[in-house]
Formats: sequence, structure tokens, C-alpha cells
Amino acid sequence: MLKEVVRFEIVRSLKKPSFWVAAILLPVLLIGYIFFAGFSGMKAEKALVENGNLSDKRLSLMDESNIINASFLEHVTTIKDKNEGILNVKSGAMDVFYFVPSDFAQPIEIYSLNSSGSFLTDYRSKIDEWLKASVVGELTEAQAIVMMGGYRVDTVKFNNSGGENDELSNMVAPIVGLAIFYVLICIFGNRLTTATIEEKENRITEMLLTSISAKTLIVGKILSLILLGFLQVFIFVIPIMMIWLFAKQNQIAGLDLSILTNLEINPLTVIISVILLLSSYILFVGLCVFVGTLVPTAKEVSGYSSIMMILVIMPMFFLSSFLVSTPTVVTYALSFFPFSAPISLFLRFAFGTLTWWEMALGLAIITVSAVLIIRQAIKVFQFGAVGLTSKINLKDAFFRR
Amino acid sequence: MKNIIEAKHLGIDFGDKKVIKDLSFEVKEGEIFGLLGSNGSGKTTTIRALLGLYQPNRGKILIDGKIFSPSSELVGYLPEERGLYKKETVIDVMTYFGRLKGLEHPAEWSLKYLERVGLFDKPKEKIDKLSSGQQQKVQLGITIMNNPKLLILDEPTKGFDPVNRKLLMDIIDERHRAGATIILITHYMDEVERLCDHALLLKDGVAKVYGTISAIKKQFSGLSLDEIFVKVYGRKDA
Repeated sequence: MLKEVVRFEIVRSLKKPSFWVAAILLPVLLIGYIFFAGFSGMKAEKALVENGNLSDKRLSLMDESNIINASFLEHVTTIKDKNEGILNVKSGAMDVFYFVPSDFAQPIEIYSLNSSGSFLTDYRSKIDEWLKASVVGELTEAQAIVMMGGYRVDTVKFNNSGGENDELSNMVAPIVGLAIFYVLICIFGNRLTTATIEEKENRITEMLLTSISAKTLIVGKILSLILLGFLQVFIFVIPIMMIWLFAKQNQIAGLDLSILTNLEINPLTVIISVILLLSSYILFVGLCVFVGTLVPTAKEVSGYSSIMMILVIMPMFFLSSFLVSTPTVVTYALSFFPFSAPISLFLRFAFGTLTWWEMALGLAIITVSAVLIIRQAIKVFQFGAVGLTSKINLKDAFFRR
Repeated sequence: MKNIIEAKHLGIDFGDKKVIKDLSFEVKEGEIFGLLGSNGSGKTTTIRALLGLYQPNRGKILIDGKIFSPSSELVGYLPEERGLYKKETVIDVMTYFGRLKGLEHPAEWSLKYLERVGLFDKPKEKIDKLSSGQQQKVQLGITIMNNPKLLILDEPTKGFDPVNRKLLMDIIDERHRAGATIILITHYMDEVERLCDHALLLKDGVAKVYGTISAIKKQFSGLSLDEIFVKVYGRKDA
């Protein structure tokens, strides 16, 4: 019987175009975004290089400080009068005029025409380069390296468990997990809450319950919703994996995917993220189904589901609290409150502020809450299955025997 | 003949309200039993208690000597509150119910039934595209598809034209002749007089009239069931 319910629920969901639109649209948008961002970034960079290449520009300079070395001035027209330099630019005789004052308390002035593409032209870096290179000859090698910013920096951070924290690599799995969880609650939230209402609203419950128990019906629905969620994750993750593997093995002309290819993902973070994602999704399914069992029609579910969604996404409102390295009372409270725990734990795991015992405790809270809420949903569904017109109040939902 | 249903001092309360006060009756295997009463008299509540959807506060109600638990063969119930999966096709819905009821070839059975009730061209139609009468035929098909021992039919012919009403009554009669026990809940007293062996008239959660049709009529000096109904309820309540 359970198998039949699961099969019916899954097959009819898969037959709906809306499922596939929701399932495929997101990965397609994601891939589109990666490629669009990659190509447009390269295009912008190319434009910046082209516009920033000053060798074909007409440059003029007035150096009152006499710091700039004569060797840099070969392709520059030197000007004796500041106003003349400005007028040259205004008239189009020169593309740019630099004025370097004798006193560096005064600003260096750069005059250029506001022509197409000029906002990308890096006139500032040219004068920086001339000034630094002119004085660097007077310094020791070490001083010159420091001044030119030619030194390397290796940063090692430790997480709250004392282990070395490779920030980006450790962040990938929890962030992907969080993204998937967020997508699932957005796509399935409404469907999950209305799933158990359908039979009540369409007056099917009584006919069904002469053949199967209310428990079998709701467990079948819950299982099918969980399986559909996994399918959604599969559809979401496969393109990401394909891009990653493809980028690792191939170079795409004009696309810099080095950030993807250089990632060394720690398998342990992947496993923990998957466990957190599964338990979180099952808790969310239970919560939605429980809310659905309280009301007789889909219209009446919105009040409850709004509160539920706020509880689940509450950590997003306190995002800044999760960005600091030392957890606050707020982050602790949200991490161990069952409904806000999934997103909180994902965030803290991603930012490396979660100890192993906190993760274990959080997972235990989520799992136990999921079991309890699903048990309660089954119980409420059993006694509320034929309540075709009335809401079930929370007191009855929790304390009715 | 053995009793297939036995209710003893059944009592069901909704909060402070006693919907069924003290109800006892028996239904014998193979008979057609009329459960009668005006709206709100407790008929549907009694049936829901019979099917385990409501827990009795007092007394008990048993099917085949046991408290009901869902089974594929025992009961077919056509409730008063009608509905099906509106966005699914007729054949998908019937096949789903057929599988739940343990039918080996639910799709084949459904196609034959649809042909018989004049819906041969509707298997691929979505339920919400059918008229209410057509939906009712689909529901009756689902109710009888596994040849249940006990058929509970709540207003099975409500809203039907005479032709379709006769068609459905023929199908019900066929199930009866095949050995099924039938509980018929209806406001058509002529159907009760014609088909039922026993009847029970509920008012305010108690049995006001209960017995064989002939005994009931004798008790009310030969009045018709329509007249008895009016007499029990009074013109205002009926």
C-alpha cells in the first residue's frame, strides 16, 4: 500500500510541467550566470586593458616636484603652464594632462576628456607607476620591494576546533548545501504544505481511508516528497559537478574558471553537509506536513506557513552575527533552535565558526525534531483527516489523545 | 444469518454536544439496510465511527465482529462528501484506487466499467473536466471495484436523472445479488421501500424507528415511509 501511495504521488508530480520547470530552471539559470559572468568579466577586463593602454594616448605632464625621472617622459609632452595643459585637453589637442605639485600636501591633478569608455581608463595607475619607479632607485632592494608591494603573504587561519581552516575549500560544501536547502524550501514549501490538504479539500480522504490507514497515506506522502526533493537535488547538483569536472580538464577560451579548478574539497565537509542537508530537509518536510494537517483548505494555510518560513530563514536576518569569528548569543540560540538550526549550522560551518560538538548537537536536535514533528503530523492527520471544514488548534494538535 | 455490523449503545460527542446519544442496531449479512434521517441527525457520524474515523465515546460499533481497520476487500464507501483528484485523469485515479484495493488489473476493470456507465470516451479526461454526475459514476466505480463484502452508499443517486439513477441502482442491485451487504443512506424513500430489508430512522442521535420495512409500516398503521419520516420529524424539521 505504501509503495502505491509513493508511486502515485511521485508519478503525478513528475507528470506536471511545473515540476520540471522549477527543477531545470534553476540549474539552467546557474550555468547561464556562470558563463555570462565569466564572459562579461573577460570582456570588461579586455576593454579595461585596451582603454588603459596609454601608449597610444597623447599624454601631457607638468611636474613641479621634479621627482619623475626623465626616462619616463620620452613619450610625454611636458608643459610649463598648468592652464595651457588644461586647455589642451579641453580642445582635444591632448587626451590627458597630469599636474604634479611641488608640495605633496596638495593633490595630484589629472585632466581628461569624458569620452566613450574613458571611465575604464586607468590614468591614475600611470602616475602612481611613474612616481614609485622614479623614487625606487634611491632605496635598498628590501625597501623597494616593500614600497612596490612585491612581497607575498600566506595566511593560515585556525577554526574553533583548532584545525587549520582552508577557508574557501571548506566553505564550498556548506555553501552549496545551504543553496540547495534554500532552493528546496523555495520550490517545495508550498507543495509540501498543501500536499496533505489536497485529500481533505477534494473530499477524497474518506474513500481512501477505507482501503489504507491514515498513517500509510501520510507516510507515503512524506516519503514521496522526500524522494522528489532528492531528485531536485540531483538535478541541481549534476550540472554543477559537470561544470567543475569539465573546467578541471578543459580550458574554455576567454573563461577564467581557475577558482573552480583549484578547489581541493575536503570529503569530510561534503559528508557532513550532505547529512545536514538531508536531516534539515526531512525536518522541513515534517514541519510543512504538520502545518498542512492543521487546516482544511489550502487558502487557510498561508498564515501558518508564513510563520514557519520566518522561523526557518530567521538566521538570514542576523547574517552579520554569523560573519564574526566569535559566535554570539544570537548565533548560539539560532543554531540550537530546531527550525532555525539548519541555515544557522550551514552558515557557521561555512564560516568555520562551528566546533564538532556543536555540529553534532545541532544535527541531533534537527534529527530528533524531525522525528517528533513527523510523528505529531501523522497523529494530527489521523484525527483530523475527516475534519473537512474546521481548523485544528495547536492545543488539540499537541495534547489531544 | 450472521451480523456483519453490530452497534451497541454507541455514543459520540463533539465537545459538549452528544451527536450520537445511545444507538444500537444490527445489520445482517447480505441484506440492504436503510439508514435514514434528516441532515444533521447523525447518519454520517455513525458511518464514520463504523469506519474508525471517529472514536466512540461510549459503546462500540463492529464490522464482522471487529473494530474496523482499513482492508482492501471488506468495505466500499461512497461518502456524501464527493471528490476525487481533480487534476488527474479518470483512468489514473481509478487505477490508483484499484491498486490500493488490491485489484490485479485495475486499468482493465476501470475501462470496462467506464464503458458500461457511458464514459467510454473519458479515461484520459481530467476529473475536473467531467460533469458532477460523471464524477459520481467514477466514484461509484471506485467504491465497488473490488467487490467489497459491505457497501456503504451515502446518497448514491443524488442529483441523477431517472435514466442514470436506474443505471446505478441496477449496478447496486447486481452487487447485492452477488452477496454484498449494502447500507443505503438516502432521502428517496421509494428506494428504501423498494430495496431495503431493514431501516433505521435517526433523530437527534437516537433511533426513532428501527426494524424491517414491513414491521415499520405496520407500526405506523400502514403509512408510507415518506409519511412516517414526516411524522417522526414533524413538518418543520423534515
